[in-house]
Amino acid sequence: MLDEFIRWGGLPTEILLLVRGLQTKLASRYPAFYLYIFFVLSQSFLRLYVYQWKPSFYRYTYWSTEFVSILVGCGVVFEIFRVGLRAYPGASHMARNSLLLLFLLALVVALANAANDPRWWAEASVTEIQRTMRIVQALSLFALVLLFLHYSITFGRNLRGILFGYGLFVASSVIWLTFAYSGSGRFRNYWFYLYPMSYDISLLVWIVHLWGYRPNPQTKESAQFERQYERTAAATKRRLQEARSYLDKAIER
Amino acid sequence: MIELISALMVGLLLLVVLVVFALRQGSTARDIHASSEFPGDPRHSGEFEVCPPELVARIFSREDWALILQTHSPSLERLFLQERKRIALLWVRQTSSDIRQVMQNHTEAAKQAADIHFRTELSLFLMYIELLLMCGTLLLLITAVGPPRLQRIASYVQELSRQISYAHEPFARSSPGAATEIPTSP
Repeated sequence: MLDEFIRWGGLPTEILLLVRGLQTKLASRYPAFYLYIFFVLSQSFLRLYVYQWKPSFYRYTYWSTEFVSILVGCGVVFEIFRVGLRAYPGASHMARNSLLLLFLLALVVALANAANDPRWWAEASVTEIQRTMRIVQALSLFALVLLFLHYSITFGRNLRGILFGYGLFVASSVIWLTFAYSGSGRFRNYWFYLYPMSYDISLLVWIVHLWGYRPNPQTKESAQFERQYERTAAATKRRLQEARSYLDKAIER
Repeated sequence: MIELISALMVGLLLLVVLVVFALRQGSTARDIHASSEFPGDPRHSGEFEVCPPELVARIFSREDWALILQTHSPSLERLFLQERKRIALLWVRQTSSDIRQVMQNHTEAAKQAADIHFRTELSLFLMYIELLLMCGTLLLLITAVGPPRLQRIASYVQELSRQISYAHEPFARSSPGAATEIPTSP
Protein backbone atom coordinates (compact mmCIF):
# COMPACT_ATOMS: atom_id res chain seq x y z
CA MET A 1 0.00 0.00 0.00
CA LEU A 2 2.75 2.42 1.05
CA ASP A 3 4.76 1.30 -1.95
CA GLU A 4 1.88 2.15 -4.30
CA PHE A 5 1.26 5.48 -2.54
CA ILE A 6 4.92 6.53 -2.88
CA ARG A 7 5.05 5.41 -6.50
CA TRP A 8 1.80 6.98 -7.73
CA GLY A 9 1.21 9.63 -5.06
CA GLY A 10 3.06 12.23 -7.11
CA LEU A 11 0.43 12.21 -9.88
CA PRO A 12 -2.14 14.51 -8.18
CA THR A 13 0.69 16.88 -7.15
CA GLU A 14 1.97 17.04 -10.73
CA ILE A 15 -1.53 17.77 -12.02
CA LEU A 16 -1.97 20.48 -9.37
CA LEU A 17 1.43 21.96 -10.28
CA LEU A 18 0.48 22.11 -13.96
CA VAL A 19 -2.94 23.62 -13.25
CA ARG A 20 -1.38 26.31 -11.01
CA GLY A 21 1.28 26.94 -13.67
CA LEU A 22 -1.40 27.64 -16.26
CA GLN A 23 -3.54 29.73 -13.87
CA THR A 24 -0.64 31.94 -12.73
CA LYS A 25 0.93 32.02 -16.26
CA LEU A 26 4.15 30.64 -14.74
CA ALA A 27 4.09 28.01 -17.50
CA SER A 28 4.88 30.70 -20.07
CA ARG A 29 7.72 32.07 -17.92
CA TYR A 30 9.30 28.66 -17.28
CA PRO A 31 8.26 26.59 -20.34
CA ALA A 32 11.07 24.00 -20.06
CA PHE A 33 10.20 23.25 -16.43
CA TYR A 34 6.48 22.81 -17.09
CA LEU A 35 7.24 20.74 -20.19
CA TYR A 36 9.33 18.52 -17.94
CA ILE A 37 6.48 18.14 -15.43
CA PHE A 38 4.04 17.45 -18.27
CA PHE A 39 6.41 14.82 -19.67
CA VAL A 40 6.86 13.12 -16.28
CA LEU A 41 3.09 13.08 -15.80
CA SER A 42 2.52 11.60 -19.27
CA GLN A 43 5.23 8.99 -18.75
CA SER A 44 3.63 8.00 -15.42
CA PHE A 45 0.29 7.36 -17.16
CA LEU A 46 2.06 5.49 -19.94
CA ARG A 47 3.93 3.34 -17.42
CA LEU A 48 0.72 2.73 -15.46
CA TYR A 49 -0.99 1.61 -18.65
CA VAL A 50 1.88 -0.68 -19.68
CA TYR A 51 2.19 -2.01 -16.11
CA GLN A 52 -1.50 -2.96 -16.08
CA TRP A 53 -2.05 -4.18 -19.66
CA LYS A 54 1.33 -5.09 -21.13
CA PRO A 55 3.59 -6.01 -18.20
CA SER A 56 6.16 -7.69 -20.45
CA PHE A 57 6.94 -4.27 -22.01
CA TYR A 58 7.15 -2.46 -18.67
CA ARG A 59 10.93 -2.75 -18.24
CA TYR A 60 11.61 -1.48 -21.76
CA THR A 61 9.10 1.37 -21.38
CA TYR A 62 10.47 2.34 -17.97
CA TRP A 63 14.10 2.73 -19.07
CA SER A 64 13.39 4.37 -22.42
CA THR A 65 11.13 7.00 -20.79
CA GLU A 66 13.79 7.51 -18.09
CA PHE A 67 16.33 8.40 -20.78
CA VAL A 68 13.98 10.84 -22.46
CA SER A 69 13.15 12.43 -19.09
CA ILE A 70 16.87 13.02 -18.45
CA LEU A 71 17.13 14.78 -21.81
CA VAL A 72 14.02 16.89 -21.10
CA GLY A 73 15.51 17.60 -17.65
CA CYS A 74 18.56 19.13 -19.35
CA GLY A 75 16.13 21.77 -20.59
CA VAL A 76 15.31 22.60 -16.93
CA VAL A 77 19.04 23.08 -16.19
CA PHE A 78 19.33 25.32 -19.26
CA GLU A 79 16.29 27.31 -18.13
CA ILE A 80 17.78 27.86 -14.65
CA PHE A 81 20.94 29.18 -16.35
CA ARG A 82 19.00 31.32 -18.90
CA VAL A 83 16.48 32.94 -16.52
CA GLY A 84 18.79 33.17 -13.49
CA LEU A 85 21.59 34.95 -15.33
CA ARG A 86 19.54 36.98 -17.78
CA ALA A 87 20.40 40.26 -16.03
CA TYR A 88 24.06 39.37 -15.52
CA PRO A 89 25.98 39.16 -18.83
CA GLY A 90 29.34 38.73 -17.08
CA ALA A 91 28.21 35.85 -14.88
CA SER A 92 26.35 34.35 -17.85
CA HIS A 93 29.55 34.40 -19.93
CA MET A 94 31.42 32.67 -17.09
CA ALA A 95 28.67 30.03 -16.74
CA ARG A 96 28.69 29.30 -20.49
CA ASN A 97 32.47 28.81 -20.51
CA SER A 98 32.46 26.76 -17.30
CA LEU A 99 29.74 24.42 -18.62
CA LEU A 100 31.54 24.09 -21.96
CA LEU A 101 34.75 23.22 -20.12
CA LEU A 102 32.85 20.69 -18.00
CA PHE A 103 31.24 18.98 -21.00
CA LEU A 104 34.60 18.84 -22.81
CA LEU A 105 36.15 17.31 -19.70
CA ALA A 106 33.32 14.75 -19.43
CA LEU A 107 33.74 13.89 -23.11
CA VAL A 108 37.50 13.43 -22.74
CA VAL A 109 37.01 11.20 -19.67
CA ALA A 110 34.34 9.15 -21.47
CA LEU A 111 36.54 8.73 -24.56
CA ALA A 112 39.55 7.80 -22.43
CA ASN A 113 37.47 5.19 -20.57
CA ALA A 114 36.13 3.81 -23.85
CA ALA A 115 39.66 3.63 -25.26
CA ASN A 116 40.86 1.73 -22.18
CA ASP A 117 37.93 -0.65 -22.27
CA PRO A 118 36.41 -0.83 -25.82
CA ARG A 119 33.74 -3.31 -24.68
CA TRP A 120 32.27 -0.74 -22.23
CA TRP A 121 29.69 0.61 -24.72
CA ALA A 122 28.45 -2.87 -25.48
CA GLU A 123 28.49 -4.16 -21.92
CA ALA A 124 27.37 -1.09 -20.01
CA SER A 125 24.06 -1.67 -18.26
CA VAL A 126 21.13 0.68 -18.58
CA THR A 127 21.64 1.73 -14.97
CA GLU A 128 25.28 2.52 -15.65
CA ILE A 129 24.53 4.74 -18.67
CA GLN A 130 21.73 6.49 -16.83
CA ARG A 131 23.96 7.06 -13.82
CA THR A 132 26.66 8.58 -16.05
CA MET A 133 24.11 10.94 -17.61
CA ARG A 134 22.79 11.96 -14.18
CA ILE A 135 26.36 12.57 -12.94
CA VAL A 136 27.00 14.95 -15.86
CA GLN A 137 23.72 16.71 -15.03
CA ALA A 138 24.65 16.87 -11.33
CA LEU A 139 28.08 18.31 -12.17
CA SER A 140 26.47 20.95 -14.41
CA LEU A 141 24.12 21.96 -11.58
CA PHE A 142 27.00 21.90 -9.11
CA ALA A 143 29.08 24.23 -11.32
CA LEU A 144 26.10 26.54 -11.82
CA VAL A 145 25.28 26.75 -8.10
CA LEU A 146 28.95 27.45 -7.29
CA LEU A 147 28.86 30.27 -9.82
CA PHE A 148 25.61 31.64 -8.36
CA LEU A 149 27.25 31.57 -4.93
CA HIS A 150 30.49 33.20 -6.13
CA TYR A 151 28.70 36.04 -7.93
CA SER A 152 26.03 36.37 -5.21
CA ILE A 153 23.20 35.96 -7.72
CA THR A 154 19.84 36.51 -6.06
CA PHE A 155 16.95 34.36 -7.25
CA GLY A 156 13.25 34.93 -6.97
CA ARG A 157 11.11 32.45 -5.06
CA ASN A 158 9.95 30.63 -8.22
CA LEU A 159 13.37 30.02 -9.76
CA ARG A 160 14.85 29.16 -6.37
CA GLY A 161 12.18 26.48 -5.97
CA ILE A 162 12.84 25.03 -9.44
CA LEU A 163 16.59 24.86 -8.78
CA PHE A 164 16.29 23.47 -5.27
CA GLY A 165 13.66 20.86 -6.19
CA TYR A 166 15.39 19.69 -9.35
CA GLY A 167 18.85 19.73 -7.71
CA LEU A 168 17.51 17.61 -4.85
CA PHE A 169 16.04 15.13 -7.32
CA VAL A 170 19.23 14.90 -9.44
CA ALA A 171 21.45 14.48 -6.35
CA SER A 172 19.24 11.71 -4.96
CA SER A 173 19.12 10.07 -8.42
CA VAL A 174 22.93 9.94 -8.54
CA ILE A 175 23.06 8.42 -5.05
CA TRP A 176 20.28 5.93 -5.81
CA LEU A 177 21.74 4.87 -9.16
CA THR A 178 25.17 4.42 -7.55
CA PHE A 179 23.69 2.04 -4.98
CA ALA A 180 21.63 0.31 -7.65
CA TYR A 181 24.72 -0.05 -9.86
CA SER A 182 26.88 -1.36 -7.00
CA GLY A 183 24.24 -4.01 -6.41
CA SER A 184 24.38 -3.83 -2.62
CA GLY A 185 21.06 -5.46 -1.80
CA ARG A 186 20.44 -3.83 1.57
CA PHE A 187 20.86 -0.26 0.29
CA ARG A 188 19.00 -1.17 -2.86
CA ASN A 189 15.92 -2.11 -0.83
CA TYR A 190 15.95 1.21 1.03
CA TRP A 191 16.53 3.26 -2.08
CA PHE A 192 13.70 1.50 -3.88
CA TYR A 193 11.42 3.52 -1.57
CA LEU A 194 13.63 6.53 -0.98
CA TYR A 195 14.17 7.38 -4.65
CA PRO A 196 10.49 7.95 -5.59
CA MET A 197 10.05 9.58 -2.19
CA SER A 198 12.81 12.10 -3.03
CA TYR A 199 10.86 13.00 -6.19
CA ASP A 200 7.75 13.51 -4.06
CA ILE A 201 9.76 15.86 -1.80
CA SER A 202 10.90 17.77 -4.92
CA LEU A 203 7.26 18.04 -5.98
CA LEU A 204 6.35 19.49 -2.59
CA VAL A 205 9.21 22.02 -2.90
CA TRP A 206 7.89 23.02 -6.33
CA ILE A 207 4.28 23.31 -5.15
CA VAL A 208 5.31 25.57 -2.25
CA HIS A 209 7.61 27.77 -4.36
CA LEU A 210 5.50 27.89 -7.52
CA TRP A 211 2.05 28.43 -6.03
CA GLY A 212 2.01 32.02 -7.25
CA TYR A 213 4.17 34.29 -9.41
CA ARG A 214 7.00 36.04 -7.56
CA PRO A 215 9.30 38.19 -9.76
CA ASN A 216 13.07 37.78 -9.65
CA PRO A 217 14.66 40.70 -7.79
CA GLN A 218 16.81 41.57 -10.82
CA THR A 219 15.42 44.90 -11.94
CA LYS A 220 15.57 46.37 -8.44
CA GLU A 221 19.11 45.09 -7.94
CA SER A 222 20.23 46.42 -11.33
CA ALA A 223 19.07 49.90 -10.38
CA GLN A 224 20.80 49.63 -7.03
CA PHE A 225 23.93 48.26 -8.69
CA GLU A 226 24.32 51.38 -10.86
CA ARG A 227 24.67 53.43 -7.69
CA GLN A 228 26.83 50.89 -5.88
CA TYR A 229 29.18 50.31 -8.79
CA GLU A 230 30.35 53.92 -8.96
CA ARG A 231 31.10 53.86 -5.24
CA THR A 232 32.77 50.46 -5.51
CA ALA A 233 34.95 51.44 -8.47
CA ALA A 234 36.03 54.65 -6.74
CA ALA A 235 36.78 52.77 -3.49
CA THR A 236 38.77 50.11 -5.35
CA LYS A 237 40.79 52.74 -7.18
CA ARG A 238 41.44 54.58 -3.92
CA ARG A 239 42.63 51.37 -2.30
CA LEU A 240 44.93 50.62 -5.20
CA GLN A 241 46.43 54.08 -4.96
CA GLU A 242 46.98 53.58 -1.24
CA ALA A 243 48.53 50.16 -1.84
CA ARG A 244 50.79 51.63 -4.49
CA SER A 245 51.94 54.41 -2.17
CA TYR A 246 52.74 51.84 0.55
CA LEU A 247 54.64 49.76 -2.00
CA ASP A 248 56.57 52.82 -3.18
CA LYS A 249 57.52 53.55 0.43
CA ALA A 250 58.64 49.97 0.92
CA ILE A 251 60.78 50.10 -2.24
CA GLU A 252 62.33 53.42 -1.20
CA ARG A 253 63.38 51.80 2.11
CA MET B 1 35.19 1.22 -5.76
CA ILE B 2 36.80 4.64 -6.31
CA GLU B 3 34.35 5.24 -9.15
CA LEU B 4 31.39 4.52 -6.86
CA ILE B 5 32.73 6.73 -4.07
CA SER B 6 33.34 9.62 -6.48
CA ALA B 7 29.81 9.22 -7.90
CA LEU B 8 28.40 9.33 -4.36
CA MET B 9 30.55 12.38 -3.62
CA VAL B 10 29.07 14.21 -6.65
CA GLY B 11 25.54 13.61 -5.34
CA LEU B 12 26.41 14.61 -1.78
CA LEU B 13 28.37 17.70 -2.87
CA LEU B 14 25.42 18.85 -4.96
CA LEU B 15 23.17 18.48 -1.91
CA VAL B 16 25.63 20.47 0.24
CA VAL B 17 25.98 23.38 -2.23
CA LEU B 18 22.20 23.48 -2.64
CA VAL B 19 21.75 23.83 1.11
CA VAL B 20 24.47 26.53 1.26
CA PHE B 21 22.81 28.28 -1.67
CA ALA B 22 19.41 28.20 0.05
CA LEU B 23 20.92 29.62 3.26
CA ARG B 24 22.87 32.30 1.38
CA GLN B 25 19.78 33.35 -0.57
CA GLY B 26 18.08 34.16 2.72
CA SER B 27 21.04 36.14 4.04
CA THR B 28 21.54 37.98 0.70
CA ALA B 29 17.94 39.12 0.78
CA ARG B 30 18.52 40.44 4.31
CA ASP B 31 21.76 42.20 3.20
CA ILE B 32 20.02 43.93 0.30
CA HIS B 33 17.30 45.06 2.69
CA ALA B 34 19.89 46.31 5.21
CA SER B 35 21.99 48.16 2.62
CA SER B 36 18.93 49.95 1.28
CA GLU B 37 18.06 50.96 4.84
CA PHE B 38 21.55 52.35 5.58
CA PRO B 39 22.96 53.75 2.33
CA GLY B 40 25.77 55.68 4.06
CA ASP B 41 27.06 52.74 6.09
CA PRO B 42 30.75 52.23 5.24
CA ARG B 43 30.33 48.44 5.60
CA HIS B 44 28.21 48.53 2.46
CA SER B 45 30.28 51.04 0.50
CA GLY B 46 33.28 48.76 0.04
CA GLU B 47 35.68 51.06 1.91
CA PHE B 48 38.39 49.59 4.14
CA GLU B 49 41.78 50.40 5.54
CA VAL B 50 44.93 49.06 3.93
CA CYS B 51 47.50 47.56 6.29
CA PRO B 52 50.96 48.92 5.34
CA PRO B 53 53.71 46.37 4.53
CA GLU B 54 56.02 48.01 7.11
CA LEU B 55 53.56 47.09 9.82
CA VAL B 56 53.35 43.50 8.57
CA ALA B 57 57.14 43.20 8.61
CA ARG B 58 57.20 44.63 12.13
CA ILE B 59 54.49 42.28 13.49
CA PHE B 60 56.39 39.21 12.31
CA SER B 61 59.87 40.67 12.91
CA ARG B 62 62.55 38.40 14.38
CA GLU B 63 64.68 41.39 15.40
CA ASP B 64 62.28 42.41 18.15
CA TRP B 65 62.13 38.82 19.37
CA ALA B 66 65.92 38.63 19.40
CA LEU B 67 66.04 41.83 21.44
CA ILE B 68 63.57 40.45 23.98
CA LEU B 69 65.57 37.22 24.22
CA GLN B 70 68.62 39.25 25.25
CA THR B 71 66.82 40.44 28.39
CA HIS B 72 66.68 36.80 29.66
CA SER B 73 63.34 37.53 31.29
CA PRO B 74 60.82 34.67 30.85
CA SER B 75 57.86 36.82 31.90
CA LEU B 76 58.82 39.52 29.38
CA GLU B 77 59.22 36.88 26.66
CA ARG B 78 55.82 35.45 27.48
CA LEU B 79 54.19 38.88 27.53
CA PHE B 80 55.86 39.83 24.24
CA LEU B 81 54.69 36.63 22.52
CA GLN B 82 51.16 37.03 23.85
CA GLU B 83 50.88 40.59 22.60
CA ARG B 84 52.44 39.83 19.21
CA LYS B 85 50.15 36.85 18.76
CA ARG B 86 47.09 38.99 19.43
CA ILE B 87 48.22 41.67 16.98
CA ALA B 88 49.20 39.09 14.35
CA LEU B 89 45.85 37.31 14.62
CA LEU B 90 44.07 40.64 14.31
CA TRP B 91 46.10 41.45 11.19
CA VAL B 92 45.33 38.10 9.55
CA ARG B 93 41.61 38.45 10.27
CA GLN B 94 41.63 42.01 8.89
CA THR B 95 43.56 40.92 5.79
CA SER B 96 41.16 38.03 5.23
CA SER B 97 38.18 40.35 5.60
CA ASP B 98 39.78 42.89 3.18
CA ILE B 99 40.40 40.17 0.61
CA ARG B 100 36.78 39.03 0.83
CA GLN B 101 35.67 42.63 0.44
CA VAL B 102 37.89 43.18 -2.63
CA MET B 103 36.56 39.98 -4.22
CA GLN B 104 32.98 40.85 -3.33
CA ASN B 105 33.35 44.27 -4.95
CA HIS B 106 34.97 42.67 -7.96
CA THR B 107 32.25 40.05 -8.47
CA GLU B 108 29.56 42.72 -8.07
CA ALA B 109 31.16 44.62 -10.92
CA ALA B 110 32.10 41.57 -13.00
CA LYS B 111 28.73 39.81 -13.01
CA GLN B 112 27.14 42.63 -15.01
CA ALA B 113 30.13 43.42 -17.23
CA ALA B 114 29.73 42.34 -20.85
CA ASP B 115 33.48 42.29 -21.60
CA ILE B 116 34.47 39.85 -18.88
CA HIS B 117 37.55 37.61 -19.42
CA PHE B 118 37.15 33.96 -18.48
CA ARG B 119 40.86 33.32 -17.85
CA THR B 120 41.32 36.48 -15.78
CA GLU B 121 38.27 35.61 -13.69
CA LEU B 122 39.47 32.05 -13.20
CA SER B 123 42.96 33.12 -12.17
CA LEU B 124 41.52 35.73 -9.79
CA PHE B 125 39.25 33.12 -8.25
CA LEU B 126 42.13 30.66 -7.78
CA MET B 127 44.28 33.41 -6.27
CA TYR B 128 41.39 34.31 -3.96
CA ILE B 129 41.01 30.71 -2.79
CA GLU B 130 44.79 30.43 -2.30
CA LEU B 131 44.80 33.60 -0.20
CA LEU B 132 41.94 32.45 2.01
CA LEU B 133 43.68 29.13 2.55
CA MET B 134 46.90 30.97 3.40
CA CYS B 135 45.05 33.15 5.90
CA GLY B 136 43.53 30.05 7.48
CA THR B 137 46.93 28.38 7.68
CA LEU B 138 48.47 31.52 9.15
CA LEU B 139 45.80 31.66 11.85
CA LEU B 140 46.62 28.08 12.82
CA LEU B 141 50.38 28.58 12.69
CA ILE B 142 50.32 31.84 14.67
CA THR B 143 48.33 30.10 17.37
CA ALA B 144 50.69 27.12 17.33
CA VAL B 145 54.21 28.59 16.91
CA GLY B 146 53.87 32.37 17.30
CA PRO B 147 54.48 35.25 14.87
CA PRO B 148 58.33 35.63 14.90
CA ARG B 149 58.80 32.40 12.93
CA LEU B 150 56.28 33.25 10.22
CA GLN B 151 57.76 36.32 8.57
CA ARG B 152 58.14 34.74 5.12
CA ILE B 153 54.65 33.30 4.86
CA ALA B 154 53.12 36.58 6.05
CA SER B 155 55.03 38.50 3.38
CA TYR B 156 53.76 36.00 0.79
CA VAL B 157 50.15 36.59 1.84
CA GLN B 158 50.71 40.35 1.68
CA GLU B 159 52.19 40.03 -1.83
CA LEU B 160 49.33 37.81 -3.10
CA SER B 161 46.70 40.11 -1.68
CA ARG B 162 48.39 43.02 -3.51
CA GLN B 163 48.38 41.01 -6.75
CA ILE B 164 44.61 40.52 -6.47
CA SER B 165 44.13 44.27 -6.13
CA TYR B 166 46.33 44.97 -9.16
CA ALA B 167 44.63 42.27 -11.25
CA HIS B 168 41.31 43.95 -10.53
CA GLU B 169 42.63 47.39 -11.61
CA PRO B 170 42.44 47.07 -15.44
CA PHE B 171 38.94 45.67 -15.13
CA ALA B 172 37.74 48.54 -12.94
CA ARG B 173 39.42 51.05 -15.25
CA SER B 174 37.85 49.62 -18.43
CA SER B 175 34.30 49.69 -16.99
CA PRO B 176 32.31 52.70 -18.24
CA GLY B 177 31.06 53.57 -14.73
CA ALA B 178 34.60 53.63 -13.40
CA ALA B 179 35.87 55.92 -16.13
CA THR B 180 33.46 58.66 -15.16
CA GLU B 181 33.72 58.29 -11.40
CA ILE B 182 37.33 57.42 -10.54
CA PRO B 183 39.29 60.51 -9.49
CA THR B 184 42.63 61.22 -11.18
CA SER B 185 45.89 60.77 -9.27
CA PRO B 186 46.58 63.47 -6.68
